[in-house]
Amino acid sequence: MSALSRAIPIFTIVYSVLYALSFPYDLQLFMYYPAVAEFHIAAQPATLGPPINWYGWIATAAIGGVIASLAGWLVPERWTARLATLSWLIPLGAMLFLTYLAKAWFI
Amino acid sequence: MTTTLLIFHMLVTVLLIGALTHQTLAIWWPVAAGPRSFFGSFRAVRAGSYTNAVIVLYVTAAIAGALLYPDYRLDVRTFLEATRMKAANGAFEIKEHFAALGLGMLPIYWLYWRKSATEYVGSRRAITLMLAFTVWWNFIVGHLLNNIRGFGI
Repeated sequence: MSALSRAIPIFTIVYSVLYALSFPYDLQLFMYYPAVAEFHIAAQPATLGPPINWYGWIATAAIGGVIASLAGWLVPERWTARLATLSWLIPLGAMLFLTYLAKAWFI
Repeated sequence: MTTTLLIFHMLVTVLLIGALTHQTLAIWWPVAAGPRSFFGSFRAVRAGSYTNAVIVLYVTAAIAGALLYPDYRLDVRTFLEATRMKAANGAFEIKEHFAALGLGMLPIYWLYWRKSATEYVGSRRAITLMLAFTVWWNFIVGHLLNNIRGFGI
């Protein structure tokens, strides 16, 4: 199994978990305030308008995924082979989890 | 500029839907030998040949969507909140989550499809179906939101 083949499943798994947790736990790396076109690490007063957290959630997930996939070199090859087969289950779980969290909009 | 980008976003997504639907049907419902109907011909494609195009189109659509997001956040979402259109807001929230998770799925999707036809068969079918569902959901929700308050923002 090549290094890339070992790293990719770990990236997808960690990216999906981190993204799913970033939304409910406000783990965004940064926020963008479109009304004033400014990026901020912390929440700002309402005078700056509504923030966009989505970019920050993706950044958190992507950076975490890359770091974890680099650390994936340490994972035994037999484990990464199994992870590769099952890694689609994690994003599926994340999709279901985030859909469940959105239920309040429909009640 | 926003309207131009919105139309570009939609057109890229139409191409993406076409490619992913061909690919998904081809692996979930392969054609048998013999004369083919219209739907049989639709499924009789070399599914693997769509993979790189799907990845490029998905990333392009996601970038266009990200560029449109500030206008949506300031003009459309505030309108939806003011008019208490909760379901529309919720549908968009799911759309943004699915779009982001789809980005994270692209590497494993690529990996599954670059392997031989006998490797990762079930995983390849699953991830392709998930991406197809994501793109269809996002297209329909985006279309509905655009009908509520899209062009002219």
